[in-house]
Amino acid sequence: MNRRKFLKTVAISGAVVAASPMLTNTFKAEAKGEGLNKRSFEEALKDVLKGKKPVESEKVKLIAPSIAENGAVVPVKVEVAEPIENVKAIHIFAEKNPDPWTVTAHLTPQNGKAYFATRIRLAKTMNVYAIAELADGSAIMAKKAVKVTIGGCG
Amino acid sequence: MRIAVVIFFLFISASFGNVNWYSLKEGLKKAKEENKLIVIYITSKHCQYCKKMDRTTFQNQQVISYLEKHFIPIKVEKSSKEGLEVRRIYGYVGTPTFHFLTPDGKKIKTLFGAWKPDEFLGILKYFAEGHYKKINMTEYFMKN
Repeated sequence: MNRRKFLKTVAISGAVVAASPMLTNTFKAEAKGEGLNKRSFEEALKDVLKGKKPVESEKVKLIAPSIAENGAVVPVKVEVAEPIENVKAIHIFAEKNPDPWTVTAHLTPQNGKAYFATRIRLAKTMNVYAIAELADGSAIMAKKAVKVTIGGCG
Repeated sequence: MRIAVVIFFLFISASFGNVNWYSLKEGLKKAKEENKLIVIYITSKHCQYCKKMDRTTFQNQQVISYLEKHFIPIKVEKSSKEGLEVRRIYGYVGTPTFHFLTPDGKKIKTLFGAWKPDEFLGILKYFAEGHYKKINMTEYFMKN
């Protein structure tokens, strides 16, 4: 090995060592879930509804199990008793998930009916919210408590 | 005075009772004789959630009396001879696993995970009241 090759090797090794704390920190951040879009229920509600405050209404029917046997696939059905022209979107929020905003279904009159069904994942026992955004700018909602297992060992 | 003390201790022991768990062989025999549903609880010494359930749900008087009135409760350690037999016949998801069986030992449903007393009571009622014959568990809890 000549002098030039030796210096090149030392320089590359130095750069790798200098970069390694950055890599370690990235892994630490990923392990902590810092890269995830974590926010509170209130923050998510504000972001998605652009500051609108939803009011509870019997017009929104939220069907979800009171006890879900598997928190990874919890069936949720939402029906809004309003003409389809009046309903712009249906949002589903899971209050205590890392990001409570779960899904938004944008509706048009061609949907025929303000109805939406899906399966959602719940991290733990919590309230699930169904919020309908109406054409007049208001928002109405319904909520239901869904209980899931406190945990188990795989 | 002596009677009062005896009554007091009887009351105390009744309020901190435990589930009368059966062994696999004994439980299957008893369920057939009494025509009762069976719950098999697969547990492990190392499972924190099982320990939590043992300390809370299975100390709850409502759960204990409902469980013993309507079911034959069987508890097996996951790595024991009985546990391995249960796992081979009825399957295994993790600990705790609950297998709900008919009195003649046919599997109705398997449930995974630890549950709080009121939730576990709701699950027990779904089986004991016979709803499992007409409707699946998720649909039942969507209506109730």
